[in-house]
Amino acid sequence: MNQARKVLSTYSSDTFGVISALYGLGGLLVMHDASGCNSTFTTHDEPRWYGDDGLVFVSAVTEEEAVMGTAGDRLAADMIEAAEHFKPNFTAIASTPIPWMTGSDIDLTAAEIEEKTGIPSFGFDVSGMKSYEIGASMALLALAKRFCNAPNPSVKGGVNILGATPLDLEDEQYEHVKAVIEGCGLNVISSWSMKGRFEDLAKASSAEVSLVVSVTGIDTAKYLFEQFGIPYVIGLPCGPVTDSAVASALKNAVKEKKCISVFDGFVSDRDAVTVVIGEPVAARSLAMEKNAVLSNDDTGNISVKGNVRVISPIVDSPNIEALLSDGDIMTTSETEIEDELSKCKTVYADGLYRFVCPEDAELIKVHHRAYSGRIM
Amino acid sequence: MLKQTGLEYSVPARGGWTIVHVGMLVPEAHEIFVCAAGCLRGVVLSAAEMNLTDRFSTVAIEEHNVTDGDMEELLVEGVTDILNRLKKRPPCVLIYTSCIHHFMGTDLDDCFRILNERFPDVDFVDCYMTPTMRKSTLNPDKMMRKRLYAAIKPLKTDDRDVLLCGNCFAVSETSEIKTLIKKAGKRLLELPAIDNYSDYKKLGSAGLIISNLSVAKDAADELAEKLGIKSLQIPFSFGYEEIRDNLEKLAKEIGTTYDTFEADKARADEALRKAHDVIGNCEIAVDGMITTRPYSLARLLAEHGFNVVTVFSDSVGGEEADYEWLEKHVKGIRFEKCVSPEMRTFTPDDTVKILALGQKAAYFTQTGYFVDMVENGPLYGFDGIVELSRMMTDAFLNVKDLKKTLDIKGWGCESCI
Repeated sequence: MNQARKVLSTYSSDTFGVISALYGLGGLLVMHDASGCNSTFTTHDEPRWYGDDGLVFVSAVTEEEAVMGTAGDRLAADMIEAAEHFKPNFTAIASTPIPWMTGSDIDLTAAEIEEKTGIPSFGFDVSGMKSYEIGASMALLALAKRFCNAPNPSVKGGVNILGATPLDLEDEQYEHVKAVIEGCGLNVISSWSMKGRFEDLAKASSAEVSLVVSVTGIDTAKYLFEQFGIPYVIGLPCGPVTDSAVASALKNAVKEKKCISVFDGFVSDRDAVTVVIGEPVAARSLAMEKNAVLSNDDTGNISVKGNVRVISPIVDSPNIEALLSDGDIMTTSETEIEDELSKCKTVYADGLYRFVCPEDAELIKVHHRAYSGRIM
Repeated sequence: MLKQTGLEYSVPARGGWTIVHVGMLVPEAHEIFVCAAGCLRGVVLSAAEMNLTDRFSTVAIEEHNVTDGDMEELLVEGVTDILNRLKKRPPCVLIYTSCIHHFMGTDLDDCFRILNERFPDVDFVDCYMTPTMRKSTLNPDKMMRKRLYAAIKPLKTDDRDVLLCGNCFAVSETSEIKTLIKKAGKRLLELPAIDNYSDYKKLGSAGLIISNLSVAKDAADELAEKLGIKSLQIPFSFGYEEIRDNLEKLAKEIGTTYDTFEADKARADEALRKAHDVIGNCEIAVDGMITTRPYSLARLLAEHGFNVVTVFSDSVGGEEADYEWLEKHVKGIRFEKCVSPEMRTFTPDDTVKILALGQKAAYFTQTGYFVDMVENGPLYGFDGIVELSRMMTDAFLNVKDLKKTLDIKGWGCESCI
């Protein structure tokens, strides 16, 4: 029974992925939910809650509204009033299980808000039943299509950081990514969306290259490539090996105008006794970092057989599979993960995996907010 | 200014206990939540923060379950799989279903019938995480207090046993409730003070049920009816007369008398006076998290000369008289609804020292001087007022790390990592 978990936690949901990706950009964000989603998000998933006045609310849908189908009308009226009060850069509604199941027309509600207020508005018809990367990816792509839809004069050395949210990155990791970019003579002109600014979103079309630091940024990267010819690099700098690989790949992508995954040619060993569990871009980057053997040519291509393998415990995004190699697996099954770990000696994973880590294996904790929230 | 918008804000001060924490009061029970990922997210991490992951499992509902109509099979087979994989079979399993089961008309009766047949050695209790019912008469909080006692079966009544029903925390040993119970030669049974399932089942011998929280009244009444005994309400309050009336009512019911009112009142007055000597005219903010009677508390303090400036609470329910008294007698007092969207941008006056009573009041006023307690803690009666006076004095004198305190979900919990 893949859906039953005796002891393991659950990853942040698509609903929270939407809100996390949009947070910090001056939007009015509403989870169309009875209750609980807001407290979970603010309790566990959103560290910026304390230092920022981000506007995140729930619609507080009631049983009667859900049964009678009146929640959408009330939500539109409430959000119009709130939008006129707070004057946000945009508004967004993320659905949750009950509105999803009852077929609430989130897009219609968003359209009504936009028509009445003139404020760009989005509806995200997520179910609250998938993992966060789906929602975050959807939100970032929607932002790009709406606010970055015209070409701009190219900025030499300009880089977009795509797929950065606190669900996957800590502040220190983000700063490290930025330092690697700047270290190779490039500069960040837009960040999607952690540490980003709303007014910079439109400037993304002037970048020379995008750096995708999590799976949530891939759809946006593809959009920017298809619309404006901006190539992208996939990889998270997290140490000397990946710093170098990403830096080389960025320079090469700019030069050759081609998209590069730093994982191309990097094949995990199915029998490796060291495993990394996590978001696939971060996990594969860490796996590269922990490999003893490295062959890195000046084009940024890696061609080694890895002795560390990856388990992606999130499976919903269609972009995940392409990030993994033959020796890696993607699964949400607790028993399968437990079985895989039983063969391991070293496990890099969030601390909550300690409950399925064999006693004779070493667990090296890598905090992942999308999994254990703010528990460290 | 926003009108009464339906949008709600959630304060990141999460000391209040959730249904996960409350359910864990059933000793040795295992909780299994059957919900969508978004709903599981909060509860699974609550269990982790309680350091009780070994008593907590989940079954994730996926989109295909909704369209395939196999919700019953998912629940039954998911729970079966978990129970078969646990190292030790729990004596009791609390199965929490969610809003989606009820909107889809999931046949829960049949699910529990099958599970009872498969696991005859387990007491299964149906629990409900249904936030769409939050504003209904029988809301999830009231329902959870009821389900806490669902596995108790009637035993031979022992008139010496008095069960205090529905509290998350045991009342203080020095409270007047316990003094009266002892005086009458009886024993007070409290779920938070019980640590094994065998003793939990013995609650079925209670000869009288008392309750002091409004959210526990339905639980007390239902259990009393099941056991064929009386349920007595002695509502929590900070009002002297109300406390006296309740203690007299309890004393009469258990065959004794409450005859220390004047002495207890004097003790409470003296404690408040001493606290006021230290705290003086410092601004005080009270919230509805520290106590179930924030307006009663604010009134008590105002009547004793404290400078109460704000009450943060989401409703006045049941406290209309205290609310009206405060409005009439405390000039400039503010009543703030915590869930109002405007509270997201609430700006405290950071030029003055504020003493906050409760985590939400502390969050909104951004003060490190606060009393950290939820849902009345162990307080009751005049003894509770004495203890609260001590806590206020301590909070006024000793600053706390606000963010560190607010970061932990469920008062009294810790990280499991």
